[in-house]
Amino acid sequence: MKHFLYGAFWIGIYIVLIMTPLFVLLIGQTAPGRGFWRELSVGLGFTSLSMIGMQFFLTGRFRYITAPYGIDVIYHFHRQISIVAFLFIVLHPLILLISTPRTMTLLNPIIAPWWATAGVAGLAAFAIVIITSLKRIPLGIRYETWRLSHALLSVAAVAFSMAHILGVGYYTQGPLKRGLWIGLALFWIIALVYIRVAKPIIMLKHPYTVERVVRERGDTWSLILKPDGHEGMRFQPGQFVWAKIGKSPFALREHPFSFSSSAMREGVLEISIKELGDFTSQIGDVAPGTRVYLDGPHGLFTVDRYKADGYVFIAAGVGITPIMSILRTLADRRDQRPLLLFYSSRGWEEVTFRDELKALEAHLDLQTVHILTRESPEGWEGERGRINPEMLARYLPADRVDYEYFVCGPEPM
Amino acid sequence: MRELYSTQLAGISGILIVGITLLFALIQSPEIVSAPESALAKDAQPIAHPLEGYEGCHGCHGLKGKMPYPLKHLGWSNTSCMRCHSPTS
Repeated sequence: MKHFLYGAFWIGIYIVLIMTPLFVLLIGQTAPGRGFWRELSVGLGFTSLSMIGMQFFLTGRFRYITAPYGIDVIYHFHRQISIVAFLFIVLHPLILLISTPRTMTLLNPIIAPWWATAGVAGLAAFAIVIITSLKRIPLGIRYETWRLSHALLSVAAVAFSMAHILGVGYYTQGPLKRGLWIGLALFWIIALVYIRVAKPIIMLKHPYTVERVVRERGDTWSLILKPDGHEGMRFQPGQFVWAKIGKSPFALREHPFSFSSSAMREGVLEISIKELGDFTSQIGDVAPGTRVYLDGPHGLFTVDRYKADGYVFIAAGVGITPIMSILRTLADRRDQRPLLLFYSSRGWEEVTFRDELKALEAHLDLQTVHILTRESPEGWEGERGRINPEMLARYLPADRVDYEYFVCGPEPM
Repeated sequence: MRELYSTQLAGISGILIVGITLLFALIQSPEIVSAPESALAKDAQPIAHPLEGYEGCHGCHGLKGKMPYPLKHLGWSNTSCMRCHSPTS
């Protein structure tokens, strides 16, 4: 209930922040209305600009914003609300053209006033942002190129839109109202500068060094990281970081990896990475002494947020990583609540952390159910195939409703 | 599941924002929400000039015009003037 109220509160704050600048325009002496449809078009224009500006905060990974929902929900919301804002910004000229057809001349840059052309340019910049974000891979755009152009085009869209509303000047007459919108735009740009410049500078002063690289079963490598000149990072078991390995903190490409170490151990951190793609397939070649920069911790996938009488973990492949952090932490805390782990792997030799899971059973009330999806050793008496409801029912306790469930793995699972 | 949650949040936010923007448009269009006041309309001054070519009332009678309307008329658009004011012939 507390999280629901907290989440509803932040949505309320979001709506207030989006709509307040619009209604401030009605304070004091206000220009008269010019007909319902024209005013609706103008309202949607102002509103969509507020929404675009707020996007700089949504993607800034500010803990107060991500904490109620989880950073994955915030990022998905960022994408969805961008489409809503784009719809509003398209409706702005569309409603105007339909209700007052003579405004069609504003679309001709040769005869239109400069502020009309600025508005069209802002709309075009935003359209490119949306299209390149939705269709980056089919368009063959490299990730780093997309990320840089995304930031630059977003700033351009805000700048052109601001020029448009200040140039029209119908609702932004007077120093207070002009100052409000200019101040808002600066505020949004400052947020972007913080995220892209200030935060990397902070990371530059808190580097980590790869102490060891450990080969695990299942094409997985654990990187043991030591803080260099600072105390390190406190995190909750199950959380993750964005890591830049062997790169500058200003680099555009970063990768999310879960902690696999105990949250109770100070200083040294461990992240475990499976060879799955272009970058991760070379993770075993990372040399001790390599500099690493971390942005985090992030995430709500943690037992510290969800208190229960017991826990059930369902993992497949590298999905075991955050769960290892949770189990190691609970062992360090001497937690004796019942724990049940369903762990799916391709074969017995690919079960990551196989030996340590066995050892943890001596320190925790932990039952591990291994499921092998492809090869099984001779005499295998464990589970086979995919995890399904019947399999879960064989092991779940009678009071299963009182447990909290954590699931981490690839989509087919 | 979590993507569905964020889609729902975006949808709810969008609906609320559209609703509040509609409110802004209605505030700026009082002619939509208020009924014509026939008693006041009787006292409204007649229009002393032909209307052809003079459809944009606010050009002369707006706040910045040469013959501005009284402050109590603030918020009334060009299309609403004719609800109370009529030409003399």
